[in-house]
Order: sequence, then C-alpha cells, then structure tokens
Amino acid sequence: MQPRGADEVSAVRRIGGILLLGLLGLAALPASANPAREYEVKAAFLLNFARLVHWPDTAFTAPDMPIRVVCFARNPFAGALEAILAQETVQGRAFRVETTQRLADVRGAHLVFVPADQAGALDDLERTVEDAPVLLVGESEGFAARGGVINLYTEDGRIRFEINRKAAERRGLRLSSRLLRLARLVAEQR
Amino acid sequence: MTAQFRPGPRPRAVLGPAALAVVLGLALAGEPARAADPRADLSRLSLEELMEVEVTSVSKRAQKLSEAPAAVTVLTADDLRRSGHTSIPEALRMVPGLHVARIDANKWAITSRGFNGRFANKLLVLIDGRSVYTPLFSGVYWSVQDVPLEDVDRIEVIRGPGGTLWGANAVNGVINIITKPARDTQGALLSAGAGSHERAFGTARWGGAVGENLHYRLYGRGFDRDAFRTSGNEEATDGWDVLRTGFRLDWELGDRDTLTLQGDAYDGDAGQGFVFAPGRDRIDLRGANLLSRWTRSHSERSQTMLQAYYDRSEREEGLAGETRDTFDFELQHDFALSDLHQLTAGLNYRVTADRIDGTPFVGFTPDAQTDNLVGAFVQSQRTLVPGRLSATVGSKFEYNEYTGFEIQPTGRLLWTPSERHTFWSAVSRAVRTPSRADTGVSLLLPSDTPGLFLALEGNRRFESENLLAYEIGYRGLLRHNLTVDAAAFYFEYDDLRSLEVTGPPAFSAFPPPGAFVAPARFENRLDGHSYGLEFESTWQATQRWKLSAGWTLFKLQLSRDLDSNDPVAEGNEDDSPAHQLHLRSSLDLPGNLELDAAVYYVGKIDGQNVGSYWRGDLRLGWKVREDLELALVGQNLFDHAHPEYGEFFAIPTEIPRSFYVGVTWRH
Repeated sequence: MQPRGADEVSAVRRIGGILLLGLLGLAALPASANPAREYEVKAAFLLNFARLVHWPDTAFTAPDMPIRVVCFARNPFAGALEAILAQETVQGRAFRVETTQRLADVRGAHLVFVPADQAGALDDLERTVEDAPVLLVGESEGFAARGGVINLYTEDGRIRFEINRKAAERRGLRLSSRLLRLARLVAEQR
Repeated sequence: MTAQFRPGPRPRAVLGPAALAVVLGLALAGEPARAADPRADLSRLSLEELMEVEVTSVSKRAQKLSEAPAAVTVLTADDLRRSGHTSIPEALRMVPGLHVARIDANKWAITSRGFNGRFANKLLVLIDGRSVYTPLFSGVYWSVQDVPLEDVDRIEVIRGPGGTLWGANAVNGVINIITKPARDTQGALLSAGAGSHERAFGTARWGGAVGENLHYRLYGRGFDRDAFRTSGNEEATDGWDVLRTGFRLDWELGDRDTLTLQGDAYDGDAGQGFVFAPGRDRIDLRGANLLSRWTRSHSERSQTMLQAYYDRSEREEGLAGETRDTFDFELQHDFALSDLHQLTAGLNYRVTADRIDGTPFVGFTPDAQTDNLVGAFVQSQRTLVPGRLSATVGSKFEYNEYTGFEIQPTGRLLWTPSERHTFWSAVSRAVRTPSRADTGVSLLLPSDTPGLFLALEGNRRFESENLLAYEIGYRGLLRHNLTVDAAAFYFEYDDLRSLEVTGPPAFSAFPPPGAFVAPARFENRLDGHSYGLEFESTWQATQRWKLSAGWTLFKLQLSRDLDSNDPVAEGNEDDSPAHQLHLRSSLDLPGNLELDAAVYYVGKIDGQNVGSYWRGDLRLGWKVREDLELALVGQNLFDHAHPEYGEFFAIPTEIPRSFYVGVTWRH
C-alpha cells in the first residue's frame, strides 16, 4: 500500500476504535445454555438405528470388526456423532466414524449418512455400493422413496423417520419390527 | 438446499461509528439470559423417547430455501460442474431474472431486473462475505471476480431489494458466491483443459489438516482466453489471461467458535479495442484481499459473527486507471427473544480510498478520495401461527458522505399452508447511493451524431436513487420430483439518474481533429416503474434424468421530469430483453457418462441494437475412474457468432461457437 494522506490515517484509527469496542461488546455476552440440538438428536437416532438393524454376516470380516459409519461429503454433526458413538458397542462391535467425499471410500461402510445438501449424490452412492448391505440414511424429502433406506424428517419440531422396506431387503438388511412400527413406511418410486 | 438469507458486508463510512458501536455493544450485553435446558444424555434415550425430543432448526442464518420470503435461486456445485461454464459470470446465465450479456471476451453486462450495461449499478455481489462491487460506478468488474469453480459450494441469487440486510446498492438483487469450508476440500485436485476460446486453463488445489480442528487449502489457477472477432469479422484484441492464487483456513476452536482466514491475489492482462485509437488497449488487472471471520454459536438460535477484510484492486487501461483500498468491518448478532421471535442485528463500517489517473477523455474530481460509510440494521422475524405464518420486519440505517442518512426498511410475510406450498410477499425500500462517477466524473461522450460530443460532468449534489418494491412469490413441491418457483414484482423508482444537456454545442479543438462539444451533467430527473415475472421449475423425470426450465418476463418504463432534457433516457428502457428462456437437461448414461444440454433464448435488446439469439451448450462427461473425470464441452453451438451487447468506448465483439476438453483429477 502506498502512503496516503491524513484521511487514511484517521480512518485507520477509527477502525481500531471500532474493533476494540466490538470486542468489548462480545466479551460482555452471557454464555447461554444450549437447547437440544437437531444433530445431537439425529446422532442418537443413528445409534438406535444401528441397534435395531441387523447386518448380514458377510458385512463383517471379523467378529470384532467395528461398524463403519460414513458421513458423505461433510459431517454436519459437529462432533456429536463421534461423541455419542464413542462409548457404545452393538453386539460387541465398536463404531468408527469417517467423513469422505470420495465415492470409493464409501464401499465397505455399514451406515452412510447423506446430509440434506448432498441428497443429489444418492444416485451416485447407490451405483457405488450397489446392493451391498449399506444402511443409507438421509434427511431430505424423497430420500427413502428414491432408494435410500431411512430418511429423517422433522414434524412439529420433532424428528421422525421413514423407511423404504424394499431398499432394505434389496441390501440384505433386516429391520426390527420395533423400528418398522415407529417409522412411516414409504413405497419406492424410481 | 439451504439459502443463506443473511447479511454480508455493506458499503463505505463516518462520524459517529464509535457511538454506534457503543450502542450495539450495550444492546448485546443486554441480551436476556435464557433458562438452562436440562440436557439428558441423548445416547440413553430409546427411539420412542427420542421421537419426543423437540429440536430447533439447524441454524437461523442458514434458512431453508423454502422458508426465505424472497425470490431466491441457488446454483449448486453440481449445477456448476455439469453446466460446462468456466467462469462465474457465464454460470449466472442459468439464473432466471438475471440478464447476462457478454460485451467482449473479458467484459460482461449483468443485472437483475433491468438497467443493464457494462456499468450496471443496482446489483450487489459478494464472495464469501466480501463485497466486490466498486464504488467508482457502483458496479462490478466481472473479469476479476473468479474463484476455482471446484471450490464453490453454491451461488445464491436473491432478486429484488436486499437493502435492509446488505445496505445501499442491493437495489435490484444480491449475488452471494460461497466457497466450501476447507474441511470439504481435503486432498489434491488438478484440473486442466484447452480449446478454441479457452486456449488453456488449469487449477491446482491442495487441502490438508493440522490435527482434527484446523483445515486449510491452497490453490493456484490460471487461464488464457483467445480474442473474439468484431462484427466486421476481424480478429479483435480482447484476448486475456489471469493468474490467481489463494488460501482458506478454518479453525474450530472448541464447540462454539470458528475462525476463518482466507485470501486471494491475482494478476492479469486483458485487451480491448478502443474507438478513438487503433490497436490493442491493454488493461492491467491486479488485486489482493484478506478476510477473517470469527463466528461464535451461543446456541442453535443465537450466534455472533465478527468479520473484517481488506481488499486492494488496481485496474489500468488506456482511458483511466483506478487503485482502490477498502477496509470493511462487520459485526452481526442473531438471538431469540422467544421461541417464536428471532432478532438479527448488525453493525458495519467501511472505508475505501481510491486514486484515479485520468485522461482528457475520462477524469475524476478529486482524483483521490476517501469515503466512509457506517451502517446498522435490525430485523425481527416473528412466527404468527406456528408452522404456517411468519412476518419479517426490519430496516437498515446507513450514513454515507454524499447524502447523509438513508433508511431502507422491509416488511415480509411468509405463508406455508402445507409443507409443500409456500407463498410470500414483500414491500421494501432500497436506495442506490451516489458513486464516484455520479458525483465527480468528467467524461467525453460520443453522441449518435458524428462529430458531436457531450462533455459530461458529475454532480456534487447528486441524490440517491430510490426504489419502492412490491413482490409476491410462490414455491411448491408439486410432486416428489417436481418443484416450481414463481415470483412477480412491481417496482417504482424515483430520482433515477438522468443526463441533462446544460448548454449549446461549441467547437472545440479536443478531441482531435476538432469537434462540437456540448456540456452535460448528471441529475436525478428520471422516474420509472418496472414489472416482471420469473418462473423456474425442476423435474427429476427419472432417477437419471433431470430437467429444469426458466422463463423471465421484464418491462421497464421511464419518464422524464418536466425540467429534464435527457436525450438518452427512453433508450435505456430497452437495455434489457423483454423475454428470456432456458431449458437444461442432465442425463446420466450407462458407462459413467453424463450428457448435459442447455438451450437459452434472449430476446432482442433494442436499446443496444442487438437482436434476439438462441444459445445451445452441450457437455459430455466421462468418469473414467473414481478419481478421474473427462469432459468435452461445446458452447454457443447454434451460430457461428453473435453479439450480446453494445458498448461505448470499447469495441464490442461477437460471442463465437467454441469447444474445449477438460480433465479433473482428485485424490
């Protein structure tokens, strides 16, 4: 930057003053408590899905092989998913959480979460995993109908889910009757 | 899909910023503390119990598109990739309500809802929250607004006034170009290509992480674009090349804080034909910017954002050179007054200092100037009937050094009779505050009569242009695979800029070899109204085939005040086409092939003497391997070449049919 006149110097002083005042204002903010966060609840839903879905034996190569949970393209849980799954096991299996935007990395996953803004990738994902036992969980309208297995949606401020049974059967996933009872069942439209 | 219907930075500054900061600081400190919500350990809840837990929406700031009470179109990363477009201005062709016209290889005229021109001045453009319009003429130099398209998360286009949040100059629309967080661009990416107009282009990007919470990326990018041809089928001189590099760093500090630091620098050289002298007039393009943003989430419904950036731009061409330094500071706070009442408030300050090297054809008085701008806004969003009806009211209060205080209020209603149908309506006021050109330009303007020139002077007493806007819209999910979006508007303008001839022509030795020159000045003696319809629909016909269509109808009428003698006002009515259409098809073929086609129709533009044209684009993409993609693209296939806009000074050229091949490798 070339030197400028007094105008600029005074402008810079004013900027400094404002930054300082702004920061003071921030420091005065009270720390407020968090209400239940959407993605913390959704993370707990995923844990429950893992408990209530039975993967075929072929999905695991070792008895202690962890359940691979993949967030596709981005992880919207802000740490909540890792935190909730860290202490848990399902039938002796721990969880491993990953985030990837590469389709190839999705192969061999047990549960794939597709964030709302990645719903367009469902077709690519289906083509990649084919009929492998992958529990595809989404959160966008039509996700289950288009071939996803479970779709989370919000109704009256509460989280609900819908299930495409055909998609589960095709992938060799057995869903518990309790899971099916609580879900809205949707037909496949493809 | 989410639309960030939120404030970005707003323009220039002054007196009392400190006073405003104090007021805002106090307001923030006074935020009511909420009762603590006893949080159960969610992992111990059964599914049945979980289904009873009430959740708040994802984020106040990232509203769902279906919940925005405004005309919004979002271009996704996938839209960009499959369009085959290689620049941001070209990609905007896909947005209904915008008019994109390429003047020559390196210049575009882009506007929302009328008043187009190379110096179109009613559209605000932001890249990651950094305003990129120049206060020189309140418009955008599109040639230097570029980012690696692979790193773009989405482009949000809001048609209609956004002055309440974004401040002056968001008169007819706001474009937000938003890049992906560094976390989403990890690993290596190399893309390169070559073709007939795109002689060569390439991007290299590397994204990495330090620990779990700090992600970064670095990129380098460059292109070399060939010259077009003039209407006389002569090789023009508008070829250009730009090199650009930049970085972004996102650091998550604990659960609540995120710090982003990003910057870019570019250096390029563009050419143009110049009506007064033969040969290639070289335009030097240089610039750099550095932005930092700190966001703290207090809760799902409350967060604070503090942003500061510095931007330097240099542009030198035969007629004039502009060097500009801008510093911008912004503070924004969102919080909930109750479950049904959300408040957003903000404060901004901008200082911009320029130096302009003029010529006898174009000059500015004074030739160096520093402008300050201070603004504050508050917006309240209240749910009237939960899940059905909500109202948004707010206003921007802004002080600029030309016209003093400007108030830009809006009132909006959103009605969602069911989850699938949304109706909205809005009444807003927006202003365009004076630019450097309005107040201080000296311009020798060729007229339609050979040998007659206008010596146009800016006007220190130039006032703001005003808009009162009425809008309604509908968004619907008609079937699970069919969406429609329609918006209609009626805009009333007053105090629009007029060009008044203030004396009789006299013979002058300049410009050589001598000509008649009449004095003229900018005034605010023009009123007008415009109306239009914008329609957009997307149909996922099958799992592998998506179709989208758009239609734009636009009409503008201007009327001079009784004391105006503006000789060109009526011509400006016809600087935008009355009709525009587009149809895009994205088809996935077996063998990892993608076939994309687009057809655009742009009606005639009488004001620029440009006829209507059809444009056709085709792209064939092939995913050779998971990490390797090839694309063959043909653009503008329907004719050999056609003009899209007229221009004075620089010679317009014709947009030719072109082809390129591109390869992208990710690892």
